[in-house]
Amino acid sequence: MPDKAIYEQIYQKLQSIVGPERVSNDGPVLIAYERDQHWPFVTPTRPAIVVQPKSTEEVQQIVKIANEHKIPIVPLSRGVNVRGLCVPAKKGSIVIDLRLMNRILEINTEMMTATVEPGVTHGQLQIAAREKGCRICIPGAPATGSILANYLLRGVYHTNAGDGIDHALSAEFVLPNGELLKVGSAAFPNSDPYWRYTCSPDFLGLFQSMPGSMGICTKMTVKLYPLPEHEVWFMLGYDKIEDAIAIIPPLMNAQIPSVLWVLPQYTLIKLIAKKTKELEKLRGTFPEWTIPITIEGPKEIVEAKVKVAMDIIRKTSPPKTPLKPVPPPTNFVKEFKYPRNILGFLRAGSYHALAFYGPLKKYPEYIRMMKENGEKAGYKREQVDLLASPYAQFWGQACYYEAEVPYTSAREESVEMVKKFHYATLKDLIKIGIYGWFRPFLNPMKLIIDDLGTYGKLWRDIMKLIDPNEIMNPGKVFPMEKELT
Amino acid sequence: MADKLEKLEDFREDLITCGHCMGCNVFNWWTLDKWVDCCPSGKKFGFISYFAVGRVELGRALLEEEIEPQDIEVLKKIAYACPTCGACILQCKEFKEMDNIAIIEALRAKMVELGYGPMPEHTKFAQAVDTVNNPYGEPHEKRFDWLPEGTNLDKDAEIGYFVGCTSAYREQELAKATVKLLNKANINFQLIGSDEYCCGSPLLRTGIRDKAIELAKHNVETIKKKGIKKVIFSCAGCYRTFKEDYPKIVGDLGFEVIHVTQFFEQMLKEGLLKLKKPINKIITYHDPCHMGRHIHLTKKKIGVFDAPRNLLKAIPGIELKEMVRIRENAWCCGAGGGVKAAFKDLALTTAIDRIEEALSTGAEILVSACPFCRRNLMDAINAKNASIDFKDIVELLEESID
Ligand code: SF4
Ligand code: SF4
Repeated sequence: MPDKAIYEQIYQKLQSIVGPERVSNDGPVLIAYERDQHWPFVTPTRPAIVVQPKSTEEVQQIVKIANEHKIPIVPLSRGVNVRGLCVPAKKGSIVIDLRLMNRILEINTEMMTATVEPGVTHGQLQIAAREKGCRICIPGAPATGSILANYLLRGVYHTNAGDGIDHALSAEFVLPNGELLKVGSAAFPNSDPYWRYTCSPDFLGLFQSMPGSMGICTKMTVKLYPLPEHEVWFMLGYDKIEDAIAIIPPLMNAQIPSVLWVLPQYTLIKLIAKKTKELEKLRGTFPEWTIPITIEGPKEIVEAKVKVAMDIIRKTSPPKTPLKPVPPPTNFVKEFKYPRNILGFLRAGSYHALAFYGPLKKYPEYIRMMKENGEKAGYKREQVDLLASPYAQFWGQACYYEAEVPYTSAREESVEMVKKFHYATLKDLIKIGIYGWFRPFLNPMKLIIDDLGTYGKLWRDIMKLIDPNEIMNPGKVFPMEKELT
Repeated sequence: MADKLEKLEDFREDLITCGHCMGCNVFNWWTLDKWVDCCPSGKKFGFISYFAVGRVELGRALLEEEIEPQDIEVLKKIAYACPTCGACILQCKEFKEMDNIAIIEALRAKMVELGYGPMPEHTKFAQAVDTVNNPYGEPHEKRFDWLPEGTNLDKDAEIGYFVGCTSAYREQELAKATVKLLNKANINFQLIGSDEYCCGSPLLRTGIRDKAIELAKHNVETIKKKGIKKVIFSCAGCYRTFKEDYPKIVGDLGFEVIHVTQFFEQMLKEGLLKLKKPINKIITYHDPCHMGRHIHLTKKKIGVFDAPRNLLKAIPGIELKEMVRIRENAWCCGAGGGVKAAFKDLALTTAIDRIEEALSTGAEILVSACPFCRRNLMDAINAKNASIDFKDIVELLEESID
C-alpha cells in the first residue's frame, strides 16, 4: 500500500478531475462503502477514497492514476449488492461510485434496444421503456439495482422471453490502463451498437460475470422486448417437489412459459406478507410448492399455448390446486414488472445469498442435502428452502437456484448457524454437481479454485494479461493468497 | 415519568441489518409508476453516505465505537444535512419495518449526548428558546403582536389555537388568516396566550431533547389549565410535535390535537362550512412532511393528505393540478430538521426543485399548510423569480368563506 503522501497526491489529482465535491477521504463518508448486508461473510474493509465520476472520460483518468500507483479500485454502479462484490478486499482501495452516471442515452424502438450508463436502475429503464411501448428483461432483484451491472453479472429473470440469460448487446469498458475498449458491433467501423456478434470471439462474454475485475463498464446497449398484448397466469400448487417439477421439462421444451418459478411455501409468503408477524402465521396456508407461470404474447398464440400447457400439466402431474388460469395477486403481477416486494426478503432479518446454477433433475437431491445440513446447523427442516427458476431455453435443464434459511446478522448465534449451513452446503453442492456459482462470490470460489484446471489457469492468465497490476476489484473473482484458508 | 423517545440503542438490530437495498433512495415506483428521487440530501451531496442508508451505517458505527475524533466534523455534516423529511421510510418501513426518521433523530440525540452535536446554528436557536421561548430570539411579549384588533376570543372556549413561533414572528399572515377564518366560521376559541412557548420541534428534530421535554410539559400543563379540550394547529411542525412526540414525553395529553385542515374538513362534511366566494385559479398542493409521512392517523393509515385536498376542491373556481410527487411520495420543501438554519444551500436547492415541479403543472398558486414550508418555498420563488404565488390553504379558505 503506497504511503500517506502518495494518497494525498492522488486525492488532489482526483479532485482536479471530478471537482472537490465528488471525491472524499472522510471516514464518515467512507463508512457507507465499507460493507454490505453480506458482511458476516465478506469482511468489511473501509476504502481510502471514494470518487464519483460523471463521464467515461473521468473514469478513464481515475483508472489511469490508480494503475500508475498500483492502487486497487472497486467499481460500484448502484450499491445494491448482497455478496460483498463492491466491498474492497484490500485496504487502501479507491471506490469508483458510478451512481451519478445515470443517463438513459437512447431507447430505440426500431432496433428494440436501450443504451444506458451504469447508474441506471432496472426500475428507471423499465418505466422509460414502457412509456415507449416496450420493456426490459426484468431481473428478479430490487428495481433499485443497476441494469447494466445485472446484465453484466447475469441475473435471474422474470421475463425470460425465450432469450435465456444474456440481454446485453454491446458495451464499452475502461481497461486498467485507462484505454477504452468497445465490444460488440460498437467496435466495428462506422457501426451502431445494436448487435453482439461480429467476426470475433465474444468479447462481451469475456467480461461478463466479472464484478469489474478486468475493466469498468461505462456504457451498455441492451435488448428490449415488446410489451405483451395478452397474459395468462397459472398458480399451481403441489405437496411434493418431485410432482411439482415434473411439469417443467415438457413446458420449457415446448417454449411455453415466459415466467416460471418454483417457490417453496415460505418464499411465497415472504413475497406476499405485509408484516413480519404475518410470516409465521401464514405458514400452512399455502401448498408446500407453488409454481407461478405466465404465458404471454399475441392473444391467439397465448390461447393456443394455454391449451397446450394445460394438456401437458394434466398428463404429467396435475396440481392439487385447480388447473385453470387465475387472476394472480396484483402484487405478484407488479413484482414481475418492476420488482419491489422482493425487498420483503429483508423483512425477517438478513438475506442469505447462496445461489448457483444446476440442472432441474437434481432439485430433490439438492433440497434433501440442504435440509440435512440445515438440521445439523440447528434449523428446523421446514426453515430450509430452495427456490428455482428454469432458464429459457432450458438446454441442460438449466436452472437458477437459491437456498434460503432465516438469519439475522444482528445476532451472533444466528450468524454462526447460517455460516455452518452455508459452508457445508457449498461443499456438498460441489459433490452433487452444479453448473457453477451464480456470480463469483468469494467463499464458493475458494472451494473450487484448485479444481478448475486449465480453464481456471487460463481465466487467471487472461485477467493478468488485461490487468497486470491486479488493481481491478482484486480478491473478488479469485481470492487473494491470504484468504485461501 | 421517563420519556419514551427512542434511543439509538433501541435500533441496534435495524442498524446492523440494513440491507443496502437502496429503497431509501427513491419514491414508491409502484404507486407513482415513475422513477423519481426521494432524498433531498442524497440528491444534493451524491455519496451513498448522505442517503438514509449512510446515516443508518453511521448510527451503527457510532454504537460500535468506530468513530474517530477526526471524523466528528464530517459526521455532524452527514447527520444534520437532512431535513428529516422521512421520504426514506417508504420502502424501509414497509419491508424492513425500520423507521428511518426515528433513527436519524435518535442518532442526533446520541450525538448531543456525546457532545458531538448539534450544529452551532442549532445551539443558537436552543439558547434563544431557553431565554425567550422561541427559536427566532424575538421578545416573548411580542408573540401576539400580530393579533388583529377586534378578534373574537372566548377565554372559556374548549377549542384552543396554538399559533407556533413561525406564524407568531415570521409568517404572521397565516396567524391572522387563521383567527379571521375561525371568527368567520363562528368558532368559539381561545388562544393559548402568553404561556404558549415554542412546541420544541426544532429541538427534537436536532437531538436537543432535555429542553424539548421541558417545553412539552409546560405547554401541555398550560393547555390543560385553560380547560381546552381540542387544540387546532396551523403549523404542520407544531402539529407533528404534539401528535407524535408529546405522548412519548407526557403520556396521554388529555386534549385532542388537530390540524386546521382536519378541523375545517370536519365542518365541511357536516355542512357547517360554506365556501361560496370563487377563487378562479389553477393551484397545486404541497404536502408538508410533518403532517404527511410523520403522522400516524391510525395504525394502518398515515398522513393528513385528504383533508386539505377536500377543502381545496370545495372552493368554487379552484382547479387543483397535482404534481407527480405528492401525498406520502411528496418531495420535501427542504426546511425541516434544522436544515434551514444550518444548511441554507440544501434548504434552497430542495425548495427550488419543488418550485420547478409546481411550475410544471401550470399552477398559478402553490398552496400548502405549514408556515415553515411557506417560508422556504417563498425563498425559492424569490430566488428563482418564479411566476407562481404561494398561499396557505387557510388564506384561501378565509378568502372564500361566506
Ligand atoms: S431502505 Fe432501509 S434497509 Fe434498505 S438501504 Fe435504506 S435504510 Fe437500509
Ligand atoms: S429524511 Fe429525507 S433527506 Fe433525510 S435521509 Fe431520509 S429521505 Fe433523505
